[in-house]
Amino acid sequence: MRPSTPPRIDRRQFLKTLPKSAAAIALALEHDALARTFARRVDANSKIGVGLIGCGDLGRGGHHLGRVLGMPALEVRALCDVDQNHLDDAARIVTEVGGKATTHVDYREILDRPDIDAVINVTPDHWHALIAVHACQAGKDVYCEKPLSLTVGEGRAMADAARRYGRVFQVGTQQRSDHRFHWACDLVRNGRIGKLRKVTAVIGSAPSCGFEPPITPPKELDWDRWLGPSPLVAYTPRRCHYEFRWIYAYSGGKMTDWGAHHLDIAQWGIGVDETGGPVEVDGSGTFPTKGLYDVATDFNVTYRYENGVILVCKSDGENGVTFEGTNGTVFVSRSRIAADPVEILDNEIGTGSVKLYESRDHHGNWVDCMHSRKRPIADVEIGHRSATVCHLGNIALRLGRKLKFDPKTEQFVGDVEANRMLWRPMRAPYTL
Amino acid sequence: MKTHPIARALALALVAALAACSGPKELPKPETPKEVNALVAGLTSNDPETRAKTAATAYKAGVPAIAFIRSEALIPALPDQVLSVAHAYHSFTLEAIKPGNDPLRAQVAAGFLDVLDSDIPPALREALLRDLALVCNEPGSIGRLAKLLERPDSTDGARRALEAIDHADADRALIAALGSAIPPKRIDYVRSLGHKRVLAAVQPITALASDSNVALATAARTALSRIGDAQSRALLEAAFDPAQRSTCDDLLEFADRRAAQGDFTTAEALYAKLMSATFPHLRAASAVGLAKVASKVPVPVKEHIDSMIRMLADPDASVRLATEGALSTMRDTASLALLRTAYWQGEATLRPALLRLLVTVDPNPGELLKAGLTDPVVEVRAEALRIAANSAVPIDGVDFLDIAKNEQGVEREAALDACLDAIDRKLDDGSTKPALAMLERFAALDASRDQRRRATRQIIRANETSALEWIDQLAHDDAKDDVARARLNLAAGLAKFDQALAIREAENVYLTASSSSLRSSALDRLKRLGGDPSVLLQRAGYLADFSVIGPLPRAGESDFTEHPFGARIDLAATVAGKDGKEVRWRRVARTSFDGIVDLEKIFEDAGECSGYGYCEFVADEAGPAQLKVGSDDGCAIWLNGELVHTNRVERGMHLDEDTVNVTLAPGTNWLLIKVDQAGGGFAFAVRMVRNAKP
Repeated sequence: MRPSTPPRIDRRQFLKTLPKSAAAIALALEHDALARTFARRVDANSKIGVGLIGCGDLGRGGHHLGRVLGMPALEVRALCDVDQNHLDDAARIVTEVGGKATTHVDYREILDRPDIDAVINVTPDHWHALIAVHACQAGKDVYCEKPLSLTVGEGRAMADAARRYGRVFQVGTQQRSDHRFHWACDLVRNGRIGKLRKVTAVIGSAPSCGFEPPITPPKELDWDRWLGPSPLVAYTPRRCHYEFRWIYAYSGGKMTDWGAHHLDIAQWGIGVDETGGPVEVDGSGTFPTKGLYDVATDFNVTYRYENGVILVCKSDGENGVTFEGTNGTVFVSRSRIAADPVEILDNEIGTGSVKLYESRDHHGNWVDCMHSRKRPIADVEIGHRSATVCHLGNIALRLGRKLKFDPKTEQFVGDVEANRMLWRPMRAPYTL
Repeated sequence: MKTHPIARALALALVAALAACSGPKELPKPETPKEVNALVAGLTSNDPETRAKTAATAYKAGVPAIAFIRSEALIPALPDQVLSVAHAYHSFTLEAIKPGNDPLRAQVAAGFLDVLDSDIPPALREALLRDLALVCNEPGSIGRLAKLLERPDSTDGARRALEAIDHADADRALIAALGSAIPPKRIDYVRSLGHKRVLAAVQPITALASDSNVALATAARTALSRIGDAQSRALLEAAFDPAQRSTCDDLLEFADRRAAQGDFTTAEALYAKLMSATFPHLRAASAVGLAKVASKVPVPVKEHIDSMIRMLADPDASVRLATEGALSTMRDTASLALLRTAYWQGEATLRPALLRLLVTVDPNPGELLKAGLTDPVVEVRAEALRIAANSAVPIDGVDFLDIAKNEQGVEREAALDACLDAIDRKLDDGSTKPALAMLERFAALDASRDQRRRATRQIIRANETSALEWIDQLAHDDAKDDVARARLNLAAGLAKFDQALAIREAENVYLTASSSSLRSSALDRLKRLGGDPSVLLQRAGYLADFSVIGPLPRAGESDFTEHPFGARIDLAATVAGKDGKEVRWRRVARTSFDGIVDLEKIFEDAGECSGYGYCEFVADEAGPAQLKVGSDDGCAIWLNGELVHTNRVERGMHLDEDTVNVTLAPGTNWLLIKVDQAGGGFAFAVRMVRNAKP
């Protein structure tokens, strides 16, 4: 039984327009088909050695470690964290289930090991690119938490590295492996709501906070290493675990935290998730004027795509994604899917001519692809394009002006300052 | 200085808001130039909070930015002011880089640089240097920024700012710093120049590529590979060691850069060189590189193609895959001749891969595939099947269903996939009848669950009610709901000819579905077909004629299996409710279409409590039965006064979650259910199934 179904439809639709010739077969035998052939030759019985980099709440208990420890195809062989407490907890969990994993503070020690085939990167956003690119260079497959990148430039570097070194690279936008979100996008892409006009993604507000005095970092935390490529600043607890997402030096606030999920679904529904993105972005938001956090708390960003579709990303309203077409509307969230008219939901997944990549297990899909060498459902290029939409929103909010963007060159058009915000130089000695 | 109206309005609104937050100590409102000047006074206030707030808002009132930025009062004495002032400075930055604000921009840059010359807290210094990366755009400010490279507390921040600034003066500053810096710092400048791909830096960096400091020499080679200047080739090739990853990475990067600059011949040679790398992923990378340039060089080198063909048998899958990708792009006559020779005369292990390649370029791929299907080598036959299953081009005269009947394992699976692909093509073309005929034959075969699911979706697409006669063959034990879902969809088409039959179809789906979502879809469909859901409830065995009472005090663990109504239930009696008020039984007008009694609606805002439902029903004869129960939260059930079920749990409402084996008495039976409310939803549903196996 195949746990996931490869994408077939776009090529099929495309091929209908071509003469039935060798060229048509050539197109049909793209990466996916070739990869499928190899699938049966890779030894599916050998365990994939995994290194977990980042063992905090998300990496340790909340999600990844428990999940991968339960997967027979994987063996957690190494753990890495700059917080000794996290590392100890993760090591204990591995030991409790009869496993054995070495512990490290420097992720490069893991990448140097030949018995590590893949890494799960659950570090804060500002660490994603370094670890992911170095992992690809070391020939490891990668699962990287969302949002994929801190900047557009870092995302491009990760996508290029994965392609250059032929790595399987799954991004942790697990809504793609959720039935409801898949169904909603299947409906939209198959024209069940008519011609798509507008998409609205509601992702919630970000908090603000007051002043927090710098203190000496706890002894178990290697603060300098936690900061990594970001500027050297004094430690305060709210700058660190989990809360880092509200500080622009390390993340992008709600725009990237939840935008990475819902804007990813929006791009999937629009059908530009692998190659495109908006050509225009404009927005307004409220920023804290004091305190530690400095990302937009409330915001409303409007994107325009080349095909005329409008995407609105805003903080207020019911969390979820709404697709509006000429013949109806589909709303989807993590708890429900609804349509107007309701008959739209009579159309089952996979019964239209456009068939989307199907996965019901995000980690499982990653493992399948590591065996088959196929691209996973949330491939790095998709994750990069989705994160780019988030970053464009943040840049537009900061600059407070309408920006034109070229998804092909991944540069703003005629805006030097905006282009300077697409990449952030790294603190020495870190470099990509 | 004239204030922009919008900026002024914003400033007024912001100041007003801040004043409202700060209690009696109001900030001056800038209505006139005099009042604007008063804002300046705010910056020199002894009150640090006033200083910070004023700084954050004053620039919008139109006072020359430079005055604020240079104000010593802005430089915070207390740590808690640093972030506020940094926010204020950043506001200046964002204002300054707006189009047409060049005069302000120059002022802001100069002001920031002035401040950086003084002794300020590190966090503020870092923030200013970050902002300078956005603000600096002319030689004067860039030159002053470069001077900060000499200040130990600003070196790295200034370097990063210069790296971010896309201006030749910034590049020159970094090159100059490279010449004067101490060796450990040189590495950082080399990396910045490499990242920026500064062509003018090739010469000084080349001089460092043979430095005795290994780290510096390595960084220099990496930077040169990123810049990709042609004259760096010899140096990088000389350093190349197939067993040393960093030198491979450098050569790969350099080859990519040459290819990006249109120097495909150099790139091809370097990618070919990298095929000797010890590391599989680097060999794969070299093949990917060759794929990019193969179609762009005039004539690919024969030895390269031979090497690539051999790489089709590489032990690493990613290498094989990448190599195939590379070879599939080679369309020149010489390359194709080599591929054909290798296919017909080469090693059997390579032939499946070569078949995949050749069908992409052969003028008559259908014939090639047909020949492959009868090839004496089993791996080639299997490959031909897989290709057929994954290509959109039909192979005339091949019946994949027949092949599937005669093949085993993966070959059979591939043949069935090919069959489903063919069905998709027919549906795409509107050939519904032939597609259905194939589906009917497919249904008789033992396909995988995924394949049968795919077939059910094709049946939905075809939307021909005749499929109802044989679709159940696809169900097996693992796809019953998929088939039921297809039946449900077909019911809509059926209604055009026979509405009663369509309704019955929807009812059957409801009664046999194992998932609540399918049951819900069936009910929905039934309503739209004009059916009567209450009939369904009856057929499903739901007990619908309930009386309920509540809210009563929530039971604990010890009294969860007790009730206050005595041995016989008197529906006219009252009992003490949750807050001591008397409550009485009331008849439930109707249950929902799912047979659910929604206590949350009946006992509004009851909080934590208990509720009870009571109903009587008639059994024609004594005997075993099953109660299928769902409740939100847990429940206890008495049948004819005897406790038959208890499940103290916090849960949501799901139908049929608990199964209770009971024995019915002949004639009238009575059932009492106690439902626990721990918060959230509050509901229950009970149905009775006779003739069920315990």
